[in-house]
Amino acid sequence: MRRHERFIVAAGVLGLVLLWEALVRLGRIDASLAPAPSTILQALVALAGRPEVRASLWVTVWEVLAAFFIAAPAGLFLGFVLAEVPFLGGLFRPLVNFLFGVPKSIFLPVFILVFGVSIPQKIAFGVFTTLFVVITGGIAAVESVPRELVLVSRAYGATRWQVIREIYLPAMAPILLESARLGMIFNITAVLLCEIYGARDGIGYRIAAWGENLQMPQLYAAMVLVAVAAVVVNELLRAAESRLGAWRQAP
Amino acid sequence: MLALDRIDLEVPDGQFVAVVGPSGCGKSTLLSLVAGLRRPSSGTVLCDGEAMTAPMPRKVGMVFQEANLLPWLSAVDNVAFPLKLRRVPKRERLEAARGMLELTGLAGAEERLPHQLSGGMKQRVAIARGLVQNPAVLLMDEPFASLDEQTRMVLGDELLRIWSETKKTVLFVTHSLNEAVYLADRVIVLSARPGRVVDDVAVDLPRPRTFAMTSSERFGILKDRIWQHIRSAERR
Repeated sequence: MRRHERFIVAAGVLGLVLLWEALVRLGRIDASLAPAPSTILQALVALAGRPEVRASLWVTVWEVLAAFFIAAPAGLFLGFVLAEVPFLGGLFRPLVNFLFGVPKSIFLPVFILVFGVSIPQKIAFGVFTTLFVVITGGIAAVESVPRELVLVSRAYGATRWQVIREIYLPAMAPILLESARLGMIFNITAVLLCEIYGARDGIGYRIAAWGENLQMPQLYAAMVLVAVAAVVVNELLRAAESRLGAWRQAP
Repeated sequence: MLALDRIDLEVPDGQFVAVVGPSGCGKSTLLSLVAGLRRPSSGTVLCDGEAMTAPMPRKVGMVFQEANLLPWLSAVDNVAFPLKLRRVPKRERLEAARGMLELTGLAGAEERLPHQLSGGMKQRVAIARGLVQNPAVLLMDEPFASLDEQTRMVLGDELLRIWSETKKTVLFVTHSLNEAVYLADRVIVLSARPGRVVDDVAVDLPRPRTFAMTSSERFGILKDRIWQHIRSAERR
């Protein structure tokens, strides 16, 4: 975005927030359902000062990161194998494709039965959800590697390892980061869903509790917090992706 | 399936040899055998008396039909790539690569990415990459086939200049009879699959070659002789 575009976007967001504030104060919006932004901000500051809320937040961060760092390498490895081994690819790729379209939330009760309402259950469900995105992305990434560049590097004496490091990795990097980003969105959604559905801790668990008790300022503050964190993670991965993928620009 | 049959070919040092033949006659296969990318089912390929059983990039440089540059590397890094594979220190390999880009007329474009280069410039980078290890032999597999006529002519002249400056042995596969006669000392004509050598034409036009020669009688006679072989092969 260019500078003046950013300015317009920022002004638009600020305008909406101010409008919301004004409508609540004028009594046009029911504050018990949608509290004013200033109230939400106060609640946010108050929440940040409560150790048990901070602890819940860390539980969620830990679950999300653990699931991601299990699912990303595992999915990449499986994607690589399915793309490079024709027999396994023929056997399992249709299955992966079908499961990709199935809403993973329907499996959540099974995960609770197997793992109990626990942190491993959240991580397992996060891994399960993320895996399909990363496998599919991994296959696409491997298939995006130009075969002729592999031939060129072999003609110039590249070893197998050099082909992987000099051709496969750079060629795959943009698509891998893109699927990591999508996987992360699915992952965060899955972990929060688990926590809201049934948990003893975590920010999702707090969100569900605040919602049930009609503690609207706290609920909205938590929503803002999670939304901002998700956007930041997403944009960081997107920035890395466009940096590593600058060479993909059309001529 | 047999791609090539009884090919017996000896190319002396510094000779520019063009290989022509009907489509699918195994021209590219011949080149990949010489490059060591494939092994012949029988017989041997010797380079300097040494059998080519694997690619020997220090002896043999290769230029492909599409420039096949690594799209994430700048021009200079692409040229330096074969040296990187051999773990030549960075400063040394970049220096060599810059020299090669200068030789191929690309000084000033070192930092550009492939998508910022025209088709002709990409092929110049590919030639520079083929030459960067100072190999004795340069193999070229229809290097100008995807370029427009004018760029092709300019690059042909450039190639002759580079060849006369560097004294490489060149094996040049092409579809274009004009190109073959214009560039080469010698044109090898292959038959339809399985490819055999049906003629070995010495091009006795003086050097340096000029555009005017392409309309000379001698040029026409040589081209016609090659064309007769190819036409009868295509008919069969």
